[in-house]
Amino acid sequence: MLRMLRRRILESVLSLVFLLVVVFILSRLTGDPSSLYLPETASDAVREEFARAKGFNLPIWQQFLTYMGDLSRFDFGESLRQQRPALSVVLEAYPATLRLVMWTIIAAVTTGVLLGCLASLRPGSLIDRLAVGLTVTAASIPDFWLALMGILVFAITLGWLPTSGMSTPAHWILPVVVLMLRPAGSIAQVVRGSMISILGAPFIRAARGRGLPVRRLVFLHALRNAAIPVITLVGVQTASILNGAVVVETIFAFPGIGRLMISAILDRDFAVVQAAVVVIALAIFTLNIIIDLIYGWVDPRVRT
Amino acid sequence: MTRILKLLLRDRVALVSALYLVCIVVACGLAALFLVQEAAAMKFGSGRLAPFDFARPVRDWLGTDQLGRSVLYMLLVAGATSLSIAICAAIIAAATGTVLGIAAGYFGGIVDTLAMRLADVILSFPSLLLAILFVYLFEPSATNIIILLVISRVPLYLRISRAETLEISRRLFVDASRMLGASNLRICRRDILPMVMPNVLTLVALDIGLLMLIESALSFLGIGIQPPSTSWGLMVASGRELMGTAWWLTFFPGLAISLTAVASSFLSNWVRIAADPAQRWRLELGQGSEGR
Amino acid sequence: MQQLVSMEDLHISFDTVRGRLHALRGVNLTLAEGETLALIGESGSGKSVTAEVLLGIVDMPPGRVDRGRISYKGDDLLTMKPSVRRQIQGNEIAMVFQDAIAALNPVYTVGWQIAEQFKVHRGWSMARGREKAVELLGRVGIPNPQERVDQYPHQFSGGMRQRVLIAMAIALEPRVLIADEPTTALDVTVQAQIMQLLARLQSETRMGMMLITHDMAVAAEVADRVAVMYAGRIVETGSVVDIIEKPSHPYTQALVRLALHDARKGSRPRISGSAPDLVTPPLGCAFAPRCAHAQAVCTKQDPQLHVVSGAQSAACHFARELHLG
Repeated sequence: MLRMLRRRILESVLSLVFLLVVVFILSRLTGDPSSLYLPETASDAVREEFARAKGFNLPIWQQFLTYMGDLSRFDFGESLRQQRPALSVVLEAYPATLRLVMWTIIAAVTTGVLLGCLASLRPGSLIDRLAVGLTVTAASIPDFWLALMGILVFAITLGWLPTSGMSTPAHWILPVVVLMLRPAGSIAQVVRGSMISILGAPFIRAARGRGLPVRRLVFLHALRNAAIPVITLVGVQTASILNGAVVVETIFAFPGIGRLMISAILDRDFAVVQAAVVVIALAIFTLNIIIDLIYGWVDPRVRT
Repeated sequence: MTRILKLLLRDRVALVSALYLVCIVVACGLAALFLVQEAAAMKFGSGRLAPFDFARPVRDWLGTDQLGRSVLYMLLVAGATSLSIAICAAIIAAATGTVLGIAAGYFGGIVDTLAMRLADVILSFPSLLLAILFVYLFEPSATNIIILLVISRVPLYLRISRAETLEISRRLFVDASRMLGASNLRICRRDILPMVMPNVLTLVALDIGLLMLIESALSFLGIGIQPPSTSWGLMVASGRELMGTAWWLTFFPGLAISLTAVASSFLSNWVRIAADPAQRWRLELGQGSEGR
Repeated sequence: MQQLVSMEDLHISFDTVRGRLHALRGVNLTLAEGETLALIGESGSGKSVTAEVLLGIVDMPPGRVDRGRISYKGDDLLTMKPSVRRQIQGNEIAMVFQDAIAALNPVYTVGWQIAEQFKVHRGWSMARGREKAVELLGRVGIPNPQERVDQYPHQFSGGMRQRVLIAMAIALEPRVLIADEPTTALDVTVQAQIMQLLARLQSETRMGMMLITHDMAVAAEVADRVAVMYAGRIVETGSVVDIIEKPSHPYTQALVRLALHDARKGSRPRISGSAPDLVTPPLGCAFAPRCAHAQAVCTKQDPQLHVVSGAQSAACHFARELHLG
């Protein structure tokens, strides 16, 4: 178990370093790194001054060393727009996104597991077809459109829910529902398939032969086994949830990292974009490690 | 070819999806050739017309925007952009990824390890964020978007074709070919490629919808296709301000995206079964690709 | 000796892709308190189905009871309400399966799985159930039960796992224990130990034991009575001594011959030919195609189980002749 963790951490660190190197290379590839930081209307004189201040005219390897050195001290440079360290800007936006993703995962797992269980107990029935239908449509409907339609129906036409902001719980309903549909669909499919094969397994028959009631069989015996692939799936789905979060944050005006990145692009604030990318990468790697730990807790066969 | 058509006819869902896709591709293609002017034509006095008024001329059937432009025509022209980007990117990604994957699986060694590492990093990162980074660095344009979509999908093709290749290259008939003196290239082309194709084709069918979704999201956020070009995602974004008063401006482009993605998903299910000789019996028995 | 189980003219069939499979075509069995009945047959004879329908884990559909009844202490198990049946399962009728790793849930400790039975059937707390589990593990001969009770199935060796299954089966002191080929998956030295354990437990509790096996030699060692099964039917029953000394059905004779011949090696009996297809069962005697003594009447008329002498019955037109030598 510890060995697997160590390996996973090592892999994550390597991937992170790799990512940073790629960002560095790409940013230098554009020919004129200053243009990444400065607005397009900046004059040549300003650009040269900037380049000199940042050391862009130094040999590449020297630039690289400075770059890595800065990063290891968590110095991502300054946000040009806000005149603050880019890292603080990003870290401020982090909690909103974190809460959004967390609630989405909770909602998606609950819905997906319930739906998948029900569908597996009656394969081919109406509820099964509904589950499949949900998955396909959820995967095909663009997040932004669904969000807008949701706003159109529930906020504008019916007036039940607010259109933007995140102050009250009601503000969170539409964003979370929109964001959780796709992962819920995927989870439902996996749970369904997994449960169907587990319910046919010999140890379930043996447990039936011991007189255990159906509810216990399904929720204690079968589900815990079927949950194993779901855990891995949640890890994979988080990337997809983050994708959706960018859009949802923009539409519902949540002050999260996704929205920050978009505005940073439109404002040409490269330091912030860079910091955001790194923070997100770190979060994803941490999540993967947590998932590995949960995996080990649920499936004792992995622990040895 | 006729056998494939017959298999398609047996699965109604896939048939409808395929027909829809063909129709929309043709319609958008024709629109891109002939309707570009019409789509941009503003008609003052005909602004903000609601759709479904069939008494009016065809151009107004899906409504008009605040400048009187026909939603229907804009939809078709925008579709040409969205679809061509998605299809191009899907094909290029498939070709590149499959070649790389077969090479990695067949020759192994350092190339293989490096390729897999790279693939893992790209795959584990949210594609939209990678896209954002890329677009920032290289300016949004149709070509760059295609490049970026290709980069984000190549790892997937690489992985699946590598996995297939690894499994196949251990099988006897590959050894037999080698003993008969076939060159590596020949083995790859004749023995390995046909076995890899079913999975690749399935993914391509799925990607048409998927890549279009990503491009729409980028365009919607303002970092994808830029005006004066148009795409479905852009249409949704520009219609957003008038959502309360002119819902059709956001509704129809989004609907088009959804329908195309759904069709591509169903078609890909069918391809998965039809392309694999071992599974084809399901379609021949008339079970359809939902497995029921 | 009280009679516990009685199967009367049991006919069970299954819906399959190829058609209706007649798995049991008239099974008649009894099992009394304290006695060991060995149910012998090759694979496909229906012996596992017999065991499973007694325990109540056959899915209906695709299975169906076409005829017959199974009485347990006088009540018909097949027409019972499911909730009542569930009270009997595991509690009064229990089963030890052939493949221990497949019969145990991999994500829970063995102690938890044993304790659970007490919780479900007797309302005990899991802690109390765990204590009892330690006791049971010790009783079936697992060393260090205090430690091993918190271990997972994959941490046990094959023989130990089988002991765990036995512990689970006898936990609630059932009146009937079904053992479905409990030693087939184990090696020879362990086989003997497990069989001895079962015999000891039975003499301690006076439970009726139905031992399912393909091996006449195993039956010879532990059984009191034997029922030979072929193509979904009982073709001969009797005391173990009678069956081995004076087999009165050609199939039984072949089995005995093979067992005596391979007593040391313990290999599966193999008689030339193969069992009939039970989707279209034959009109006459099912064994006729493989029988050395087959006559014209055998392919036309299906022999019924009839008394050959004393407590021995066989289903063959020439049983009496075979019995006398």
